[in-house]
Amino acid sequence: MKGRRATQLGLLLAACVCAAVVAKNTPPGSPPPVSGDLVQFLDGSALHGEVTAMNTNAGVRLQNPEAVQPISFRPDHLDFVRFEKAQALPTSAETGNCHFKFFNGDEVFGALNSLDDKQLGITAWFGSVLKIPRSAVQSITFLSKNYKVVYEGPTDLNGWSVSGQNGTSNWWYRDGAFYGVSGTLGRKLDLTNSCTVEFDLTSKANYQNLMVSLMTDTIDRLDFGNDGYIFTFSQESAQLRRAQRGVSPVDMGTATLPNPDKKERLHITIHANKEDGTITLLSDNKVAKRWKDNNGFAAKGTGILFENIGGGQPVRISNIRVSTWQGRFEPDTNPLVQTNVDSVLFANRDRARGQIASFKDGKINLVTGTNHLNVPMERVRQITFAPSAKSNAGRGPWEVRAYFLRGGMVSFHLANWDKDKVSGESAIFGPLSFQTQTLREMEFNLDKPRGNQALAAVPDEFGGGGE
Amino acid sequence: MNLEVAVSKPILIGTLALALSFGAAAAIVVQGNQRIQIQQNGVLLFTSPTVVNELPDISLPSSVTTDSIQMANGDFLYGKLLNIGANHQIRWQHPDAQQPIEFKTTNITQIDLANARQVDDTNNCRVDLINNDGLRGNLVSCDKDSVVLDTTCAGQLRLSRAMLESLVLTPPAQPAVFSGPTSLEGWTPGKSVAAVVGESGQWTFHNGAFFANKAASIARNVNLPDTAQIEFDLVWKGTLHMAIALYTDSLQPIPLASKETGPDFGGFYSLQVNSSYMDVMPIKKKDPLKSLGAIAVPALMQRNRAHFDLRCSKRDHKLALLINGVLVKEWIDPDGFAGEGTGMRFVNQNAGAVKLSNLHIRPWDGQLEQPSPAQSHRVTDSIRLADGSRVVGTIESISNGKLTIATGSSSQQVNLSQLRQIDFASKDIGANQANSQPVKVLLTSGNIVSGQLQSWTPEAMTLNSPAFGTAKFDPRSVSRLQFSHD
Repeated sequence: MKGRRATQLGLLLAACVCAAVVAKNTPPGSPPPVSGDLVQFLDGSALHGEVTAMNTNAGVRLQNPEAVQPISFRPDHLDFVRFEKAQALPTSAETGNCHFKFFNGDEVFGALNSLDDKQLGITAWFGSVLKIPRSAVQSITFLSKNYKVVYEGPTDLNGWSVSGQNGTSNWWYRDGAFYGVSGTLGRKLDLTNSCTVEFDLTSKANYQNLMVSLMTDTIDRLDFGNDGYIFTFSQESAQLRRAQRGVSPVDMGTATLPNPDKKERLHITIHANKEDGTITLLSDNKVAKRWKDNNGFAAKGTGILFENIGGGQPVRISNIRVSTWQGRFEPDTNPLVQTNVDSVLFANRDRARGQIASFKDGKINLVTGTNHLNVPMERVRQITFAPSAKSNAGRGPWEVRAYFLRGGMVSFHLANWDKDKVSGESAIFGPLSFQTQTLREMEFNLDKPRGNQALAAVPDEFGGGGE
Repeated sequence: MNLEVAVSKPILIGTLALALSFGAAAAIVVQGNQRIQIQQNGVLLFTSPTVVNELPDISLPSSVTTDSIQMANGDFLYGKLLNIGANHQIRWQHPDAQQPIEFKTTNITQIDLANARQVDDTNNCRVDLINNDGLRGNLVSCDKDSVVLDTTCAGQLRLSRAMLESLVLTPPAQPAVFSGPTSLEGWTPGKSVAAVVGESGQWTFHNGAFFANKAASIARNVNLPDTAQIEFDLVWKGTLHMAIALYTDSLQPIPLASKETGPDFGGFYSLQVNSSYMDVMPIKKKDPLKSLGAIAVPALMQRNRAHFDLRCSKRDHKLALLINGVLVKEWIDPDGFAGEGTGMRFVNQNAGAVKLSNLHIRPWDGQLEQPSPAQSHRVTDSIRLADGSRVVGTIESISNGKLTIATGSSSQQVNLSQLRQIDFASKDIGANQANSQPVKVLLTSGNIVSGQLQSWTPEAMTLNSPAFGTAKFDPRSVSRLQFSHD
């Protein structure tokens, strides 16, 4: 992921120049609309079109509307391919409530079928039944039983309400991201329980220019009279205010966002825990602050709203994922505590260390010295496994990482991609095959660094370093 | 293009420009009648009655090593242009494509070519066309219908006089007193006093250019002549905010706020170079700070690189700034010339990255080219001579080193050595036709010619122009092809 986000912001800004001439039905300053799959190269260049095949013989074959013939690219300098027509499997196909993380960076959501000292058995949300060497597993997080992804995207502006001053809209969609210069972007969601809102925030502004209204009923303007919580973000800090009908907004305090490298892109996670009356903010998976609302959980609405409050700098919002859950099982609030032994984090936040021997009859068997603890799975929040020897094997250009709608990412050697099926072989999952439509993105050249390209369609003369 | 012309263009800033590059704490406010206000942190810095909204895009990355092709939707690819055929299909080689790619030109907006900017000092003439095209070359001849120019890019071109706005004869370039940078040697680094503590850095040298990624200062005694032309290229990332000291004797930055309590220094001029405006301040010990007048340049907000050309005259107490060949502003210091040294200092005052290259300093003859009269006022030809005088009439010919101009019932001959500029009478040839050419070609000299592209091969680019008909250009003299799809 990394530097390519900044590259895309650069592409956006470069494309804005064309927009003044080309775009006729888009907001002022927005780039012309694009459609189709996106083939992005490591050097920042990119082409849209329809990907028709991917395999070692054909390369990555793209039908670009400007090209007379389909183009076959070798994958050696590809960054990623983003698919326009990705579709998640029906919700009923989703199984289980576990979030599996692996030492090679892969992540899978699904059901835990079996676990012993050799192997982990799971059924992934994208439909595959997988057997994985235990040594490859980094952690298992048990999500709330009612955990449900209610929005993942963006894939377009459908369902979003866009508004601004004098009826002008300054938010637009392009290539899996929203870009906003001013005005609001809101959406009704079914946020009646506790929820988690995640998104990537990319901005060059060194001042607060993005407001996020959480669990609001007003999606066409920022409304401090709505019962809810409102964040104001810069790339360095976030302020939380409690909004309540008939009462002035209450400043709940400001958190510094962990961003030592002054990155332009941050992954923001907000856990709103209705039961506890807490709001937890994470930046790049590190907790920035946890607020406790001693007056009780104020939010009563069900939607979210973004507003660029101006100043001229655009913001980019991408990888939005909104999930709801019940109970006290906040997903992944705590960073992984990696030690050389296995550990279990309990629902009451106690932790025990030892060796996970097995998972059987709904219980985790943890060996601590001479003791065997059989812990009902309902009491377990997270299992963290001791790391094994790391493989340093280089990965070729056809070693790809597939990103699934509804979450999860799996790396494997791509054998073939066609309109229906993707197949390949993973070092930890073995032979893999899944429906093409479940993929939203495929990343290539996993070992190659992603630089920060220039803010224009020319090579960066400064050697990158923005993200 | 001159300032008056530039000012008469519609204001193009707005959300687009703001979105592109505007500084965090700064704001630009458009007033009625094209007035513009620059505000910073809510404080009004100045109101500029004139603005420069358009600048030709003449500067290309000097480090480009591959061609690139750009499409209307923002897509682009690196690679190499192989050819453009008569059917207007573009053959493109991409390093990862298994076969050359053929693109239709329908939605191609631009092709950048890996040909570095080159300045040919052997040309004695610059011709400006009525459609803002321009060419450099050596003047060969002129008759009632045409001017013949010998160019390095396309050989001899016969230019229709109806398409010409002006012809400027440039005196032979003087040897440069400084050309560089070639290394850090001879330069004195300094800490930018504008930097927040801990945020200052140093200029570095790489590949023929200075780079500053943080606030930083670098200075040198470059032996500035009393009348000087100072040219350089700037590329920036983020907000541009530089101070360039001219005719300074101090190689260390001068903190303006505390200049009275700091070490002594001789007077100098501080050119304030920002993303959206330029300003000049004479800086002298014991003199209050003052501005000679700022000028808003919103056109720069749509750029991240520009060619700067400064002209300085001690005798006339004058400084003039041209950006990308456009005269942005002339400053006259009513209190005399403040500069007391012969050095220059480049201070990056921002955390944004800046690249400085192609610094050339030459003696200058002190004469700025005068803008041509507006089209409606060019009812006859006119010439300007070296002594500043102007003759109005009808140019009959240029041959054998002499220009013949008919003035009423008589003719007058002028030695070309005395001639500085010709402003041609405006002809009603249909400006729309002149301006609606489908391809603009940016030459490595910085000039633009437009027309219909007939073909491109590695050996020749064939262009049909309303100004000179069909001509073959050396592809190595071309930096960019811009396609219009109106």
